Amino acid sequence: MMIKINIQDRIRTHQISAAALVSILLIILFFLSFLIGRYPVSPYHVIVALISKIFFMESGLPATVNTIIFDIRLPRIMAAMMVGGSLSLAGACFQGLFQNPLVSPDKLGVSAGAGFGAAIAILFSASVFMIQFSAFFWGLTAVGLTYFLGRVFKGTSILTLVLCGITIASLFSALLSLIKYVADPYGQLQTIVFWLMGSLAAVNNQDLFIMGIPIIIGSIILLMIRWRINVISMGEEEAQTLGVNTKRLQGIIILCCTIITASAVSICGIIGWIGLVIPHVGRMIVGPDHKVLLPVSIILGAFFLLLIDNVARTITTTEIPLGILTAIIGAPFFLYLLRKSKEVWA
Amino acid sequence: MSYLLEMVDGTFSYNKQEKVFEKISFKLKKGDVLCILGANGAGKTTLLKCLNGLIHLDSGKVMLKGIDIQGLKPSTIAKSMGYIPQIHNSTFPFTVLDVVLMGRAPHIDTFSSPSTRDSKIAKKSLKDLKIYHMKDKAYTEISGGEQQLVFIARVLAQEPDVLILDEPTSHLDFGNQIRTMNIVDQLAKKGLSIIMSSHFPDHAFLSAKKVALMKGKSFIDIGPPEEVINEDNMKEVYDINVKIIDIGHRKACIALK
Repeated sequence: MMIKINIQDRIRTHQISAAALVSILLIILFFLSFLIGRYPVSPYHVIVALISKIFFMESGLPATVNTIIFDIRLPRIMAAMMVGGSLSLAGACFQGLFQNPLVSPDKLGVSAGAGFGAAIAILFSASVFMIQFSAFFWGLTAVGLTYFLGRVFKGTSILTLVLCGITIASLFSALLSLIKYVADPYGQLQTIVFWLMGSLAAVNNQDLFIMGIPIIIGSIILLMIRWRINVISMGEEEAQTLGVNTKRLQGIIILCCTIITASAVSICGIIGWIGLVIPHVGRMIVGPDHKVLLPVSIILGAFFLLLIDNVARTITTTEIPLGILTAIIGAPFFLYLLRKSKEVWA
Repeated sequence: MSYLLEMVDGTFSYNKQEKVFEKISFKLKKGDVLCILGANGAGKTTLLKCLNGLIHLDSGKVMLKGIDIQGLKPSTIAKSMGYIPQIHNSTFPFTVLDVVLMGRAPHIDTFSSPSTRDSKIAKKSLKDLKIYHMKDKAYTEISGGEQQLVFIARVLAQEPDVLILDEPTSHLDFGNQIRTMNIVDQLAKKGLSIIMSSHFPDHAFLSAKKVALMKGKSFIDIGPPEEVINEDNMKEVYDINVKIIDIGHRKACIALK
């Protein structure tokens, strides 16, 4: 009896210490990220600047240092953490909802819709804000269409929804190709292509604020229902026999994940792989219980994208688009996971 | 009100034309065990799903403690009625305890997680089924017989009055089949009403108080196993010859060649 209790305690301790370790690493990386960039900023500057900001004091630092820290590096760092954390949260939720560990948050067409939205706004030479809004709007529209089709086809099974998502996504990517085809190849086309590859380079405090509100609201709701995601991941019918209003829960999860993903994509373009890979890393560390998995996925995703963005900023003189880096690192990493943990999500 | 579960003239079809079953009525009292026998495709699973509100009857009604389930919320139904499906597709390797805790879902608010009390109830039902020692194992890595016990533990953690079991013995070896029937018997003695489907007429002798034979869209016979399971009825339902013999403390149904 005693031994068995110890085993469980050890599992718990292992989970907690792993989560704590990742959190500490994230905090360290957060500070280090301020030091990276062309203009040199010392660790002392960062600490003084952050502390005086928290306590509303004058830091007495040169104005340039303050601007670099608060207007250039901080928004970018925060955006990387927010986008990384929320995309992997949305990925983990979708994988639970669809009972499939190979699902990513754009499975219902949000990224394809957003890509089309951004491209059409760029084609009409719209302002940056309109490009963001159009991406967000069309991302939501694509998922709305998917959901509507799923309902029309009386899709009792979640598979119908995924198939509708694949259809809608390919429809929107065809429309995107059409826009690329007619766009001016020396101006608009380049902008579209760069937008699609994803970047955090242009993020400012205003973007952060606009994107942050929906992302934070969506994430809080998902975190609140995280135990219910365990139940629905046992299958829709089984969840219903356990008293879950599955249609409503499905709707909440899809809506929150879509708003999160659309907000992230509309600000920084399409950043793939995080929503697919990070939840797996989380499951390897703390197991499949969404009650623990979701918070851990947020921390891991924030850490991962911040790390990648730092690499993107420093590795060459011109920045490498994030979408390229996440795929180059994500794809082999995913294969490694596939080999290592076959039994974990068999 | 003495009936826990009641079906009145239940009729169902998947496509509104060809009926799966028609005008089926029966009643279940506290402690009753009703075993539904019928050939493959007779509509047993469909009938059980209607009882649980997973799919809705075309006409007729299902009464749970005297209330039509049509107007009840899923969580209200699940508080009184537990269900173990015939097939379970597993995806994530949850621990046995996590799976059993899910049985508490109807008692837990959408935005909450299980409390210490829920955890205690889940652990107690693991102890009742003598599988507490495997609570930290992944439920995907245990044997089929153990998995069935985990699902029974989960349904008990739900604290229902009525239990619906869809072919609870279909994936089990001979020993586990009989052990499952013994558990059904014990649960009924504790006051649960149980309705199950089965492919083994012999199991009805082991634990059922009532047997219903399903064929051609309705029950062709319903009553105590000793009366319903006879050579003529078995010939009609399964189209095989059987012999019913008395082995002392119970009857047995044996297939002849």
